[in-house]
Amino acid sequence: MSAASTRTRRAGIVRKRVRMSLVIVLAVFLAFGARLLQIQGFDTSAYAAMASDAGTRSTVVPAERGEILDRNGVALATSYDGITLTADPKLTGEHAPQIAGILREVLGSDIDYFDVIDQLRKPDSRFVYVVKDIPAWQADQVMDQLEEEDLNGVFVQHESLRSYPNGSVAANLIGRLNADGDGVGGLEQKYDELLSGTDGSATYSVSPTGEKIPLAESQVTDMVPGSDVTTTIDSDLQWYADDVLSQAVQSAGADWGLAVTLDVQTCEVMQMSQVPTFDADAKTDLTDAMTVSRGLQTVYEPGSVMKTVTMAALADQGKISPTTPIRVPAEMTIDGFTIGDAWDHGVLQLTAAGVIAKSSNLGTILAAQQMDDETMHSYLSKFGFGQKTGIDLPGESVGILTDPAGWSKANHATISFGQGISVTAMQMVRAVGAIANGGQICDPTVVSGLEAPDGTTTATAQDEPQQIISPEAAKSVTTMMEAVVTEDGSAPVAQIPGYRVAGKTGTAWRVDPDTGRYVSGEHTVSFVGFAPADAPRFLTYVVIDNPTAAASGGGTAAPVFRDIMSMALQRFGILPTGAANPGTPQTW
Amino acid sequence: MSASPARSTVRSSARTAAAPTRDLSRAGAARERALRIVAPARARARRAPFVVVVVTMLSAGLVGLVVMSTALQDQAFELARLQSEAQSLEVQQQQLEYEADRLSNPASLAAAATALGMVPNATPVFLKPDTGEIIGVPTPAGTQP
Repeated sequence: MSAASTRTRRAGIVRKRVRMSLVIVLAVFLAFGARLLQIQGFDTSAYAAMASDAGTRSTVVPAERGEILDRNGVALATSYDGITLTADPKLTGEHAPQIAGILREVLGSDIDYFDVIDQLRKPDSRFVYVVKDIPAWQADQVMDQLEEEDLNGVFVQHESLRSYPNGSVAANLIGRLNADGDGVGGLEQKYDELLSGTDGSATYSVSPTGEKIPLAESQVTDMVPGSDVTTTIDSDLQWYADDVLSQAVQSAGADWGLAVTLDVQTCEVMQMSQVPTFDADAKTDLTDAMTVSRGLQTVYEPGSVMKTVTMAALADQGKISPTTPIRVPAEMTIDGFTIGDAWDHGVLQLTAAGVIAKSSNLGTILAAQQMDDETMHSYLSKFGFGQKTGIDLPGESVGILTDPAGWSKANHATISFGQGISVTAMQMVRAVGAIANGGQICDPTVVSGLEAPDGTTTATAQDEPQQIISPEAAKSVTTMMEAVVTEDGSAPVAQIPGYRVAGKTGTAWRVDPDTGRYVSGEHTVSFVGFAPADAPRFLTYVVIDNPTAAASGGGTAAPVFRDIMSMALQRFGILPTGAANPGTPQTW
Repeated sequence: MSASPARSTVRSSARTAAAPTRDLSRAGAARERALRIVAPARARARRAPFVVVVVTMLSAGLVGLVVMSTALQDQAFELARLQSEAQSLEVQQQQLEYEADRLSNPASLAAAATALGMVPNATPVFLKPDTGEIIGVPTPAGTQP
C-alpha cells in the first residue's frame, strides 16, 4: 500500500517536472519566436541597413581644385595632395617620444616636440590631431619610418592643399582659401564655384576585418575637377612691380602703396601690386590691413591726377586745348576758403599744358569754371566715378561722388583738382585709360578665359568700349600730359629713353578715415602715365599713401612708374619710336 | 474520357488471359502478342566509370575554384600594390613640381641670376628680323647708371 502510494507520488512529481520543463522550453521558444518576429517582421529595414553598413565602406574623393594661371600659363595657385596626421593616444602613449622624434626629424622645426608628445599622451582620448596640412610626400616619409620601427597608432587623413608658388606675388589679386577650403578674396573667391569642382564618392564592400573584397559590388561616383582660371597677369612683370614698389614704399616710410598696369587696348590688367601684403603660401600676415585689396577697396582722394579728367571734359566740349592761355593768380578765395598752389608764385601766364605740367590747382579751377556743376558731374559719371569698374574681382567699392545739387562753389573748385571726391585706384586707371585709348572707356578685366577639365576653353565676355569723349579731346589731353614729363614739368624723372610718355602727378591731402577730416602734413602721392604717348599701349598708376613729408608724386611715385613701364614696354616688345616730346609751350 | 477505353481494354485483356474465350477480338490478339516474357534486366550496372567521372568532375571543379580564387587574391594584391605605387609616384611628381615651381618663380630666378653676377639691362636693343634694322644703341648692361 505504502509502496504503491510512494510510486504514485513519484509519478506525480515526474509529471510535474515534465510539465514544468515543457513550460520552460515553450517559454524559451516563445522568446526566440518573438525576437525572430521582431528582427524579420518589424525591424527588417533597420537591421538590413546595419548589415549593409557593416559590409560596405564609403569614402569622399575630394575634387581637385582648378589652377589659377598667369597669361603665359605659369601657375599662380595650384593644388597638391596633403595629409593631416591623427593619432590614438591609447596606442601612441607608450612610444610618444619615439614618434615625436620621427616627426621632428622629417618635418623639421615646424613641429613642437613637446606639444606633440602631450598630444600623443592625451589621457582619456582615442583621437587627437598631431600635425595638420603637411604635403603627402612628407607624410609618406613619416609613415614609412613609423612602420619600420613598428610604431602604431598614427593615422592619415587625406585632403587637398593649396599652393601659391610665387608666395606673396599678386596675393591680393589671387586671394586665398580659408580653413574650410573656401575662397576668400580675389579670384579664389570670385571663381570659387568654378575652381572647386564637385567631390566624388566611392562605396565598396569590405570584409569584417575591413579588407576590400575583390570583384564585389562597388559604386564609384567620379569627382569632377574644377576649371582652371587664366588671368591676364604677367607674373614676371607682377614680381618686378612688387619689388620696385616695395622698395619705394619702404624708403618713403609710407603706410601702403599700390601699382596697377593696364593694357589700354584690351583693358587687361597686366599687374596689380600692393605693399604691404600677405603670403597665402606661408599663411603669414593674414590681417585685414594686408588682405584688403587696395586697388579696389581702399577709397582715397586722388588729388591732381584728377586734373586730367577735368581737362578731358573741357576739351570734349571744345573749351580748352593744350595752348589755351590761362592767367593764374597767386591765390583765390572761394566761399571763404583761400586756395593756393603747391608752390608760391605771383600771377602766372600758363597754357593749359602748363597748368597740367606744373599741376596748378588755381589754373584748373579757372578752366573748370567754364562748365557748371551738372556738366562736370555728368563727365565724372561718364568716366566711371561713383560706380563699380566692372572688374571681375569681389568687394569693389564705388568711391564717393556726391550729388551736384549739393555742391558749393568750393566743392566745384576742389573736385576739379581731385579733392572732395573719393575714388578707388581701379576707377582712376579706367578713367585715364579712356584718355589713353582715344576716348573709349572699357571695363578692366583680370581673367582672360576658363579651361574646363575636359579641355574646353571659354573666353570671358567683355563689354564693348564706350566712346565717352572725342578722340581729338583725348589727344589734346595726352599732349598736355606729355608736358608733365619734360624738364619744366613736375615729373621729368618719368621719362623713358626712346619713348614718348604722358603722365600726371598727384599729391593729395590725406583724409583721416576716423574723423573724415584732412590731416595736416599727411599726403597720398601718386603718378599715372601711359606710353608710348603717340600710340598708347600700357598705363601704369602708382599710389603711395602717407609717405614722409618730403615725398611727392613726381619724386616718389614717378620713379616707380618709370621702372614698371620700362619693364612692360621691354617685355612686350613695344618698339621705341624715338619720337621727341612735342614740347608744347607751358607759358604765354 | 480518354482513360476509360484503355481501362476497359486492360480489363478485357486480363479476362482473356485468365479465361480464354473463343470469340477473341483482333485487339485482344494484338495485346497477347505484346505481353510476352522478356529476359530480366542485368541486376548490377558497372559503377566504376560513373564514380570516376563524378569524382574527376568534382576534383576538377574544386581545383578550378582553388586556382581561380588564388588568382583573384593574387590579382587583388597586385592591384593594391600597383595602386599604392601609382599613388606614391603621383606624390613624388607633386613634390618635384612643387620644388620646380618654387625654383622657377621670378624671385628665385632673380636671386640665382644675381648670384651668377648677372645684372638687369635697362636699355635693350630691338632687332627687326624683316628689315635687319637695329633700334637702340647696344650698351653693355654693367655700365648703365
